[in-house]
Amino acid sequence: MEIKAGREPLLELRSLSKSFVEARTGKVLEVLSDVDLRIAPGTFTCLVGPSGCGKTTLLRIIAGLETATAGEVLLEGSPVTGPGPDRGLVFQEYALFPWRTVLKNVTFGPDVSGETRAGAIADARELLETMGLSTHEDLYPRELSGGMKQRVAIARTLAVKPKVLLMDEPFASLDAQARNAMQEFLVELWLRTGATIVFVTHSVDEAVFLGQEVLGLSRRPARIVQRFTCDLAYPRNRTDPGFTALRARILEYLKQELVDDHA
Amino acid sequence: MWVSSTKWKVISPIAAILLWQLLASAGLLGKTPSPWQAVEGIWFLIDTGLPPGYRLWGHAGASLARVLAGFAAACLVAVPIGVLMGWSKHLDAVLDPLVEAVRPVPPLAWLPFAVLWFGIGLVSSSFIIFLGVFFPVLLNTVSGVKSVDPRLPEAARTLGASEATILGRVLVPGASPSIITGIRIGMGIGWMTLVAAEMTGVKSGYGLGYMILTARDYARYDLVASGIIVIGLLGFAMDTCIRLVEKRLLRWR
Amino acid sequence: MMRLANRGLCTGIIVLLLLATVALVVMPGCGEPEKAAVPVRFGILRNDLHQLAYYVAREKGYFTEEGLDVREGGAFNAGPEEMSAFAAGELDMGLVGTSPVVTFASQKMADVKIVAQANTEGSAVLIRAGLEGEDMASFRGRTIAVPGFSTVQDFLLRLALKKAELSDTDVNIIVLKPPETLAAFSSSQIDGAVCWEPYPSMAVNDNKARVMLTSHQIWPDHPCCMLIVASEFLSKNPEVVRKVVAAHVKATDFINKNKLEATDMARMFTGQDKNVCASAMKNVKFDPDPDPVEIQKYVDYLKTAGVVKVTDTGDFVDDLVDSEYLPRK
Ligand SMILES: Nc1ncnc2c1ncn2[C@@H]1O[C@H](COP(=O)(O)OP(=O)(O)OP(=O)(O)O)[C@@H](O)[C@H]1O
Ligand SMILES: [Mg+2]
Repeated sequence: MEIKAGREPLLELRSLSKSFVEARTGKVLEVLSDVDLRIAPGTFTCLVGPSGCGKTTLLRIIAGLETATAGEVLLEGSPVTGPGPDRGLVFQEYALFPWRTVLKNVTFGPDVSGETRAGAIADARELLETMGLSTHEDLYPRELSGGMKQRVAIARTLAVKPKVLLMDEPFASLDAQARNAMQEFLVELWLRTGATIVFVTHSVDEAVFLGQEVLGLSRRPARIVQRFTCDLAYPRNRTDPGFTALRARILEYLKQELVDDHA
Repeated sequence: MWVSSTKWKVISPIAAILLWQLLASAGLLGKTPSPWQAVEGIWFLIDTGLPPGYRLWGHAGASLARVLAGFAAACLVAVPIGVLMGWSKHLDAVLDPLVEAVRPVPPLAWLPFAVLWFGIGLVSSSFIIFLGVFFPVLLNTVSGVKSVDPRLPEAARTLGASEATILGRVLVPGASPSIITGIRIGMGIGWMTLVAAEMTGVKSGYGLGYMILTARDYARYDLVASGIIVIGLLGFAMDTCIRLVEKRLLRWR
Repeated sequence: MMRLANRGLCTGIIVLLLLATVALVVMPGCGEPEKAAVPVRFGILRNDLHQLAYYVAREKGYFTEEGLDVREGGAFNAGPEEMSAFAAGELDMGLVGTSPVVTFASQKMADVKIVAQANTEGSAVLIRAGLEGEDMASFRGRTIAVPGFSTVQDFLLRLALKKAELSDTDVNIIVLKPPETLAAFSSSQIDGAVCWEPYPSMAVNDNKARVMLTSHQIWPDHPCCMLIVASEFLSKNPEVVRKVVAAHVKATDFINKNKLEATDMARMFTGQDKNVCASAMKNVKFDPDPDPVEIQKYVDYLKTAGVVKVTDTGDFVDDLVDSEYLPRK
């Protein structure tokens, strides 16, 4: 898989800036500054950046949950004005509806958009099947492990067939083993479906394992300071020399960037 | 722990009644009736009635109807308003001072107005109960909605839900544990305001609170105790019903 | 160490409890200096013209003349409320309707004696202004308010219904306190009511209702309010009771001999205007002598209604009424 230059981008951010006004102090907090980004369809893009730099804010703006102070977000050429099922957001803390069973969490989107019940249920069952959750469809979220919850959350988002999947550190709260399993699962899912994924993380290791392209963000206010292309074959192997070399390069670069930033 | 908590549920009321009977038999309670007299009183109410002819079922049924009517009306009004107040900061800012000003007024203080507006009858006494139930349900709904994880409505929005859908399918179920707590508290207060509510006068001559006042007028303090016991049992039964509903509705917790 | 500390605490608590007990036992004894007048906690009904004698005795200084210390122990909305206060031991003497006295005494809720009478008659059956009807039969199917079950007014209503050959179930009898009764007339919530004076005169004066029957027409000279005393107080302070009764009789005489001034005092006592008081006064007979035969009728009625358990109503009334303290004529 290659990023094909010149192809129409699916998602485009044009000089996006965002600042918050702190309610208590009235101080203006600049979070994003002049972010430009083009995401081609079917690509897997990872964003890495230090804690608090504005990664979540960036995804929330794309999702339409937050409005940019300047600049715009275009999806297939038309500007984004609010949240909608064409951009699916997977939250770090799952954000499942605790009063709905696994199956009903997955059918929430189809339900509210007036899809027929039977069709929605059949589709959801199919999704759960691929997620390995078939036997859990009648359980409530509190009865699931972290990894299972995150798979339900992904299934719930996929059920509305979004054009782009936005994932905000979805595996951060899992233990190392579960996280590795989920990463492998996600790669497999992407290869199978050809979805367009924008994945935020602050783990360089995770970014290199998943993405075709890794974008390095600066500290707040976040800008895209570097692009790395990872043309390693999937599925990737963490002990592969190519892998470790690339990871080391990105880490080094980011460290440098941060030091420079401070100086 | 030498007894389980379920055993205590049975032991503690029995022990309290035994102690009450012992004190009464020992003549230490003066004019306060004994539990046995209260039970005999219940039989008198079933058999003869107070005033004679007005039997217990009629009193209990009338009170139950008033409590349920006031209670249902309060829930039907308080839950939607509470959801809107919890959802909209503006509405909350506008209504909250009003709620806080009216809330501390004892329901009984509204009695003259209740009679003026609704006359003496079901509506008037239900209105007094309504006031008792309304505020706990409202406040619990508001705080329940406010405590719903803000990511849940956001998630719903990204899944294509409209604001109305979010109110009904996210905020209400999210707030439901708190709403049900409010309903349980409200139901208790509803029974508490019953005697006051039935002081608005009852046209039918039926009502447990009214009957207690009648028993007082006739100096039948044993029947006052019987009335108290019946109200307690009905209140307990209704709370048990709500708990069962709660258990079913909140299985996901 | 722990043990010792606990033991100290226990001893402390026991000593405190003992001290408290001693204090409780000793206090009443030392709180009563020999000579000072025994305070009399006196209960009345709010705005009840029948009880004017109490106000006259107080204002004319008849109580002080007798060397009494009469204190207002409470103004109640209806007789059963006042009797509850007697039951709780909160009152020593008071003026209250015959029916609640009989009810509470027969249930042994209040141990009291009737030592004098305040008045006979002085209540009326009212019909809402604008309603047709000249006799009790026109109340058929309608709602009538009484101040409480087993009040004198409740009794009068049932008597009047019986005379008109109506049963309790032909009308709807409800309980409303007299002040609310007037409001209920204005909002057409009730069709009739039985009240003590001055409420009937107030209702007529405000065009809220008219009088269908005076209690004189229902039962001439029916006993109404009584001067009662808690038995315990009576046995401890018979002389005090005698003096209170004397002041009461003197005040009643004053009312009967000085109608004009008494009406003026009624104005002060009830807070109603001259017209209301003048017409109300005409309907009340102030008479200090209780009539056991008439009183017994209440007991008989309550017994047939199944509300009180008295084996011999005659004996009961003989025991209840004690005319011994009335001044000899
Ligand atoms: N609604 C808001 N109002 C004010 N400040 C906000 C708001 N949302 C985020 N911020 C601030 O913006 C900055 C960036 O937040 P953001 O959550 O986007 O960072 P992040 O990169 O996702 O951090 P993390 O790695 O911890 O997830 C933070 O300093 C945060 O405090
Ligand atoms: Mg974040």
